[in-house]
Amino acid sequence: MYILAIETTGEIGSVTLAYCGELSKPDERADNGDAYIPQNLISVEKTDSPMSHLRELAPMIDKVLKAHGIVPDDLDAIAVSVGPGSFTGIRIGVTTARCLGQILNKPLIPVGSLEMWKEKFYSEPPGISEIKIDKINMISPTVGGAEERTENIKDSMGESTVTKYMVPLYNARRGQVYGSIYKQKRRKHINEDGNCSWECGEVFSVHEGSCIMLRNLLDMLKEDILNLSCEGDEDVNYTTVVEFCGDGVDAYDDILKEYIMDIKETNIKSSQDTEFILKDSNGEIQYQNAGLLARYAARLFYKGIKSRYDMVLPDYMRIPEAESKLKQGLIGVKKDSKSQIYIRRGKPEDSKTIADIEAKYFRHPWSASETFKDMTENPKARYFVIERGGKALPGQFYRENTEIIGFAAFWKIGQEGHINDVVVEKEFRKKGYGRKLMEYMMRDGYREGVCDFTLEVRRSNIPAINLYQSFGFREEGVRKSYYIQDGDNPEDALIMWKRKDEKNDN
Amino acid sequence: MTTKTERKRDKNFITMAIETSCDETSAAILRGDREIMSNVISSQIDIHRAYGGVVPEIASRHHLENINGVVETAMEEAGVSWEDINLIGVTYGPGLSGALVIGVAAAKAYSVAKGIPLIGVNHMHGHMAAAYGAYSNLEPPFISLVVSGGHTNIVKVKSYTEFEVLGATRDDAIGEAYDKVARVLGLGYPGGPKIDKLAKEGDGTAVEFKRTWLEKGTYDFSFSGIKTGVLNYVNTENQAGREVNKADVAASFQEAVVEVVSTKTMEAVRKEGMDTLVLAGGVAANSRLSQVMKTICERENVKLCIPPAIMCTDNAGMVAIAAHYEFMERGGDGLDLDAVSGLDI
Repeated sequence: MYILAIETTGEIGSVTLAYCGELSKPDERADNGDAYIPQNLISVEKTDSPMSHLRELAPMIDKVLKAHGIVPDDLDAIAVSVGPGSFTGIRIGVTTARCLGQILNKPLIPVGSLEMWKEKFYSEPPGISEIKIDKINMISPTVGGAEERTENIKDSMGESTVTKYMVPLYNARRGQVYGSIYKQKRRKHINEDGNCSWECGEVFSVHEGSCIMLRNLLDMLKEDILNLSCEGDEDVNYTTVVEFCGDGVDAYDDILKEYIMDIKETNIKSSQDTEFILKDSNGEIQYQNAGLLARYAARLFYKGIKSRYDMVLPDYMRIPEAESKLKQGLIGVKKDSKSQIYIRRGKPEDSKTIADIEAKYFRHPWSASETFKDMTENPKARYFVIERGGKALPGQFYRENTEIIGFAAFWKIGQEGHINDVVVEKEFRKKGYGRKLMEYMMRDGYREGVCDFTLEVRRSNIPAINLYQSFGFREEGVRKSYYIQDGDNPEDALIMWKRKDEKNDN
Repeated sequence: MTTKTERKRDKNFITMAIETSCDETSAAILRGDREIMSNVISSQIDIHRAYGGVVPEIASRHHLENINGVVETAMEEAGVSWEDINLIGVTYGPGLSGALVIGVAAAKAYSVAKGIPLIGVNHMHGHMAAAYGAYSNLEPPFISLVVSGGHTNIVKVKSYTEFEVLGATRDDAIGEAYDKVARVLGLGYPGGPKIDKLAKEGDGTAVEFKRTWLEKGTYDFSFSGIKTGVLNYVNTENQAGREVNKADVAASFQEAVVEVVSTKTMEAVRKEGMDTLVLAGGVAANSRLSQVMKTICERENVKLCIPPAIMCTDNAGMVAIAAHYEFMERGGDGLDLDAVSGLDI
């Protein structure tokens, strides 16, 4: 069967046609030995110039098909790299694949541009020469650029363990990358006949693709590597190999080298041996390519992973800048700005107004300076304000001369969000503003990793309780006579929780 | 130029066209040279309204999600299958580059998959071809006034495929000027229809905004002066604490623009010795402009063609008509067709 693979998420695009043998028995697909899926990449085309995917992609597809004398209808599936990477590049590849799938009535195999690097664990097993030669021959080793590379792994006589990391990094600018950390443990055994064999563990994601500060990603990597030395088996030789790839390696050369030095120095103390690979044996940085994609996609296809064309969407890993600004209420044009409301994160400058509002509705309000201190010095504190009116001047994202009509705040304590306030000025109540404020705050919290929200509310405050219940909050306890400032008849506080796994009815 | 007899022979030639140059995802099926069998437009206007203008990245993301369904619907409505299609036409410029890319990538994928001939169409040629769909006897040459969001041109349409730009804007396009004035008046986006509607309630002679005519004999336009005049007027009134009559300002602004545009266009019609004027592009839907044009054309005995509103917005129907004529003239494009964001007429 034939798979056409399209990769356009990087600077240079590529297309390949892969011929994969048919499955003869259904049980072949289940095993761990999928490393030996027979496949043959019969032709690969790369774009001549950077970022010319739109111009070159369709001719390349035409060329790889014609070169092998097959017509588009002969294809069994179309594999496409769905991102992350260049937004426009992703769209060119995904649109092309979707339209081919639609018109040819063939399934698509969507593959993440970071995830495809897992293929390196399968198609480049350790100690290549030591594995039974008949099986490995079925993998064409020369396709897709730089994959013919003997692993520079300590080839000592005894038993040894190698932990291999693949770290694809794509430049997302401003110190960020789209990146993943994958790892696999491999153990070399000496058999009775004196030959050795490798036992490969499962491919494990230390970090699965996201848009992240490179330094944060490298911190995770460092922590994981340093933890290895704790679990190492003392009897065997212990080696770590870390392979970086993608255009993030070009872009952040200095940061990477700094971390590599750092990890090496730490490792000298623990006598752990770590090797870092930034370039292939030809001295070139490895980039995402259709060869890698085709092999990994074939593997997925054999496991039954495929999609209808219209189910395949890009994985940008980043929302458009304008959309995030709109969500934060920083931009936006509305008909009548006086009645229009905006929600955004609170700024320290808002502390005076927030304190004024608190003073109106609470018996023991925080002062402006206490609020200011909480906003600026308490890393757990998250404030949100709801404002109206003002004007967005052309070219500026913040609005001017707005009137703050309410605010909300919570403390992020671990994975819990402790909601301290949700207040809207009296004359603006019953307009759904409290709900909007809650929605905004909780969405923000979830995005930051909050799982469960909790709050306390007066037993008599029925409108507020109704609001919280509509968000899925449930009463889980009572603090008897909690509001002691009430005087002789202190009121109870209900403790309400919204657990993440509970479905919200609304 | 395709003659009438040739057109007759091509009656069953089916063209599919795709248009994604801005914020409308559109696909159409055309039979022969002028019979539009379907013209499906998926507008993103509601999405972009919140931003006060089209956000290119967001438009591109939506085009990708919409395109397959829009194409499928257009084919269903026309009752054709892929085997019936003889030509795929696609807008390759001018427009937002990320948006154009989706249409071009889709058209090329369809073309490579089934070996259907492909042709890239200039979006502006599409606008000028729109009138053929509504006026079956219309033939070049004629003068076309093309006014859309980003373009304001007086064009001499010499044949189905030859165009000569007589006049163009030197700064803001009319659509941009309308959007900015609408923003200052707090009318929202898009500005054209909002100002047009409000102007009906106002007095076009209430405020005298200075018209910009540029040097004698030129068909070029400048709208930034009129736009700035409005902004200054509104600011001055606001600072003086006087209430601005928005309807009067809208009407007076529109009057100034329409006067300049109609005068220059009619000059071109006369000088070039033409008997037909075609309005094209989104702003052709402007009621005051078409009203003034009708009056002048009747007086001067010039035939005026205004395509129906759906053919004036960005749509694939007009692209299909232009694609057909273009293909008959010069044949198709290669699979290496690229998007050209700043394509000239």
